[in-house]
Amino acid sequence: MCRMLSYLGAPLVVEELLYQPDNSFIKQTYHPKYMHHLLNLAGFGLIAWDNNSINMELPHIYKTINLPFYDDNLWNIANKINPFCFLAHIRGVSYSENQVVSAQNVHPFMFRGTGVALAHNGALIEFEKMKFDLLEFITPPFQEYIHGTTDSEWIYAVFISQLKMLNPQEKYETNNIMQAILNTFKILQRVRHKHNISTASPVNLFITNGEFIAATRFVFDFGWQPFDAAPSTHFAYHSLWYTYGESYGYYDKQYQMKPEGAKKSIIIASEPLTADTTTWIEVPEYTMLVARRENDEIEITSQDIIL
Amino acid sequence: MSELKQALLQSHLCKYLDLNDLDLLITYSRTVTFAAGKILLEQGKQSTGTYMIIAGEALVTAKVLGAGSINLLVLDQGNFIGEISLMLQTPSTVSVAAKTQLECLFISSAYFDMLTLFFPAAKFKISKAITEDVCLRLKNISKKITAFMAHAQMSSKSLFGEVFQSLNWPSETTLEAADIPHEVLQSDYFFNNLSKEQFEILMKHATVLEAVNHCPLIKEGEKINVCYIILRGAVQSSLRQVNKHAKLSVLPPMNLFCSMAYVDGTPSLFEYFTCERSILLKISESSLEDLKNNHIEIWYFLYDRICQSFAALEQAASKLDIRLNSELYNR
Repeated sequence: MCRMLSYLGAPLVVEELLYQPDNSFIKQTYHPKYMHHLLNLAGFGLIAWDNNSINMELPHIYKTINLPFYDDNLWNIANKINPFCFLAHIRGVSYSENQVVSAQNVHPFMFRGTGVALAHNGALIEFEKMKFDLLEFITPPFQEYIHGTTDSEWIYAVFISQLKMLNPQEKYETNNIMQAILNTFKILQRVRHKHNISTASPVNLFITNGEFIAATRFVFDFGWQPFDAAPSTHFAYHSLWYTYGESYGYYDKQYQMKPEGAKKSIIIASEPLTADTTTWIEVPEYTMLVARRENDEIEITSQDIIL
Repeated sequence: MSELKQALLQSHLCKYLDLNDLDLLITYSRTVTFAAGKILLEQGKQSTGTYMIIAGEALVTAKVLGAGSINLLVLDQGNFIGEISLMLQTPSTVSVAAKTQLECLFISSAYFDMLTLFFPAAKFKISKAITEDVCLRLKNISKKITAFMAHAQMSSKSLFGEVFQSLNWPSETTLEAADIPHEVLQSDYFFNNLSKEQFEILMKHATVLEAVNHCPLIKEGEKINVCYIILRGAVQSSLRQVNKHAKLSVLPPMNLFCSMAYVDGTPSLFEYFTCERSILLKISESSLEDLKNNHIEIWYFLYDRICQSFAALEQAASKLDIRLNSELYNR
């Protein structure tokens, strides 16, 4: 199981979220509070949009299979960049010789020219049976861009094929993003049915292009797993939380969103960044969220996922 | 008769407790007094028990994202504080402070656990009083939420959708047909507190049902005394305002739910329907009655989980209330 963290709002030094809070993203890599197992680390990825960088429409991308808590390069970069939007992902995999640990499998995925990135927490059970049936739902240029071996990259390829590509001056409407996510889920469900796959498979997605963050909390066939199956985190719902406010920082002796002021920033994450969760909201099961900036304020739209 | 006993005799709790139960409660509980302004319970912290107000008033507040600290309600004589922590062993979602000089009876979790083992009848009575209080609060939050929904531009379920859903009915099946091994089910943690014999008796009182996705199980306004245990799949509880729906909670396997009618005799405020195809155990009104009359330990086991399910609903309703003020939900 993986961990994800996203941010949209007032420019912020990434280090403040990755390293500082008592349940910071990096601490989650070796001591996650909302998981019973340790993560079997298989890579760290970060994608960040920064107003002060050259070609600001292109994000900074950092991907490595190194362990993030030993990664000096990551610490250096995290203290240097000041993005208004970012998405970070820690890849966790099962202990198996079948797992491929490589840079190509590190999230977030972003095909060149699309400007839209995706990270995934979950697993599509029996994906090997499904994947070639997904090809017909992936538009030709994107079929060639799949370089890794994960279900997540294929989900991304299906999603990006459902999303109408825009000209640089156009913006994605919230409805279009939600519809593309729903279409993606319907395609995955159809292919699962075709192969009689009915074991619970979680699909928590984080999607961003620097202007919006979309997140889902969803499990296909929730509540269905073989009675004799070994316990697995993938049979349960993976957690998803958010907090918003004027800015994130050290206020009232703890890291939190500034309690008063405008709603200018949002963090959406697999788990709260602090042990105190009173300023965090848990996203319910079967839900998708889209957060975007409207007139300098964060607007959060949520919808039940009904397939 | 002590002052405490006299005060308790006038409380809601004593609708259910006899004098022996009351003596037991007084022996193992303690009275605590708080000066006005003193905090009893802090949001985010887990209480070590529940307080029942004997005299005075307490103010319930919550730190709400985007709105700072807000006053939610005032509690007075007979109301419980920290009941969710007690029932669900989770941190409190609110803070509670004494509004005036406050005298409470503190019932510790340890005492509650002791009752489970040695005086289950007394525990049932206290749980019933607490759960009725929980239901009252649930009704108040639900009223607030549905009032909000009435004016919110939420999407509505189409007439076709309503009709389509109403045509779905669960059908009877067996554990074998549902591919659920009897012995594996019995060893599940949910049934851990039951002996093998008690489990068999429970199964004889239950019907195994198979339900397709979006199958209604308890409708809003229904006054039926049945309870369901989810074996596979999932069930969603929702609040409804005409044809607008707001999701309250999703119940995974090995959860029990029932209509509010079974606790306080009032029609269900919520609707429950499957959100996956599901396998359920249904325990009918007559079976519940038979368990109550002839197999009281099994009935206590079920009632304990019923109480927990309403505490969880209260928690879910509070979360939905906060979300509706933060998000454009189902627009």
